[in-house]
Amino acid sequence: MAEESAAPPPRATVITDRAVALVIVAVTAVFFVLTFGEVSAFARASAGRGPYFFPRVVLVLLLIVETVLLFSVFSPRHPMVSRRLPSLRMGLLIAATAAYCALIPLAGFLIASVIFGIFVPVLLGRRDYGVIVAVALVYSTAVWWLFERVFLIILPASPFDIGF
Amino acid sequence: MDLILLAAGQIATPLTLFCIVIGTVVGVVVGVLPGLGSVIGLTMVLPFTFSMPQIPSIALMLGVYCGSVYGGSITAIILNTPGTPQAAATALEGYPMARRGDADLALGWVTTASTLGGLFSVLVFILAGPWLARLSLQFTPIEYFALGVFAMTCIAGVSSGQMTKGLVSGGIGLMLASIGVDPVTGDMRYTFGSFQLSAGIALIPVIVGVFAYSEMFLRVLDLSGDKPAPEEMRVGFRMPPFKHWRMRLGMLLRGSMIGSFVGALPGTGAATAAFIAYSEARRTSKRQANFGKGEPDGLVACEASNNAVTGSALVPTLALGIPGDPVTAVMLGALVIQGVVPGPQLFANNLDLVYAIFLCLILVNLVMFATGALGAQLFTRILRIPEPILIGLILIISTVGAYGVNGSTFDIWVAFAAGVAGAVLRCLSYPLAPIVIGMVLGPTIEMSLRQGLILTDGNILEFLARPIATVLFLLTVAILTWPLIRDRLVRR
Repeated sequence: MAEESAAPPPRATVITDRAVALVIVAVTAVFFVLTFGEVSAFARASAGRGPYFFPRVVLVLLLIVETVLLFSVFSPRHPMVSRRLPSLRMGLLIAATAAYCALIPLAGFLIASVIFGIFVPVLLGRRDYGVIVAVALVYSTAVWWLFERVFLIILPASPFDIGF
Repeated sequence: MDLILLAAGQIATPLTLFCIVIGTVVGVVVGVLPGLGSVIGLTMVLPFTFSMPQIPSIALMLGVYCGSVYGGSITAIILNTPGTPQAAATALEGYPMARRGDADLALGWVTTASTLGGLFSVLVFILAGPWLARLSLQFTPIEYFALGVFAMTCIAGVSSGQMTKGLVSGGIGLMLASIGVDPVTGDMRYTFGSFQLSAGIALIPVIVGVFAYSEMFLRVLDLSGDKPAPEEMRVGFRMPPFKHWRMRLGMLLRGSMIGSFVGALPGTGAATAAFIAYSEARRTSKRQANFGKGEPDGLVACEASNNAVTGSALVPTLALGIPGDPVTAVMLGALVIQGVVPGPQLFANNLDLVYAIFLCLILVNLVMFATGALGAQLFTRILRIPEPILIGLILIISTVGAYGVNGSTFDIWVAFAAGVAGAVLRCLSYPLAPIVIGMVLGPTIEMSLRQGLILTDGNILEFLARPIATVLFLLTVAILTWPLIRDRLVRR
């Protein structure tokens, strides 16, 4: 353990850390520039404390802190704590979740959830298909029934007009 | 007295009692599963509260909150793998005790100490809540602004030792909160012409994404086929004899007091309380030599303290509307959805609701004891659920939570985006709690700043003429400068 913490962080993590810090700074800068955009006449009359007054204060402070962050992540004595690197499986799970989010309005919550409930365990290495299908079917139906019928939270329906 | 009876009447309904029991059981289950914890537990039950009446939904949330803090200790004792960070200190004494064949006794110590610590915190809540609410009646927007800035700084500043990244996270949260309609002038901010963004970014989908989605994405990195052997999970419950308890009442009281104090401070939480209580127990115990070998003193101190956090953390949340950690931020979000407006007026106008929360907390702690005593063995079986299946199921229920607040598929995408961003930020050691707290406190800080400037004719220096605000500003500066001072002292 001690050896692990003494070792330098993987180069990919350092590069990602720097890239993420730069993205955060860039987004902050864009938001800051937007605070000088057009505002309503009423806002202009509010003694200089219009809609962008508070965001501007926050963004100035944020840019100061981000300057310290940039010094820190570009410093040779990089204070990285985590050494976790994303894996292909993680990328696939994120892609599957995005597909699930896209499928919900198209196929309805129940159908999308059954497919997702089957797909995720298979993606993550499970091969006991009987159990996986049964769990996905029972769980998705139970969740759908509970929210749609008991708690009356209307979930997206399928385009087949068959009641779910 | 009438109000207490009214509150008792509101609780004594089958639905509320059912919610207390179910909430506590779900909380313990979530606590038992390593890596999940209180926030994910609360996020999972959140959609159930949307269409429930006020009291049962609060009971459900309180059950999950208290149950999850306790549940983490079961896995800490049996597998030396704390189910939640709050239970990490418990493993130091609980696991050695289990190794020498006293797992059932360790569970007895832990369950009793957790229950008593939790009940102690209810007492603190009963005494401190109304007092703090009365004090806060003297607050003007200037004090609320100072308090908001102080809470933000605490949470960002003590975040996993990464102050700069914590402050950046807090700033991101504040910026997310400013998207949408400006509350004073009605102008649109950062909507980029999007109709959905004009209503702002909802808190719950961000919480779902940042905590539940990102946790599930990252769990894939630690997936292993290894499951604990069935014989490891065979555990009962044995109550420690009273003569052993009598020797440790001081330890219990001290742990409960530490937990109650730490819980009320923003940005700390049960894990911090447990470690402080454990080191204090180790320092003061007469049985110091037994520490690390399964000494009940350590177990009692850390379990009493981490459960004592639960009630006291609700004090600033309910009395001031300032959540101290992500758990209370989720609770606050759920309360607001339920139409509860935290703050001094809650204690002035809805005292029956406050009493109902007190009584719910007492019942939750008693149910927690029964749950631990009767079901410890059952809960450990949950560890046998294959993780790949569990990840899919948690993602599905979390998606319902994100969707259910506004019934909008846009919120599902918000949760997904927050999940991906959360996973990346967590990989790079950015603390995520400040993002959520920033989103919760952003509107309060902004409104109180603008109202304060109106009160002082735009002179921000007049903010320093108010004593409470000045003290809070000084504390904020102290928190920000402390790491620099500490580094200097260490170098000397």
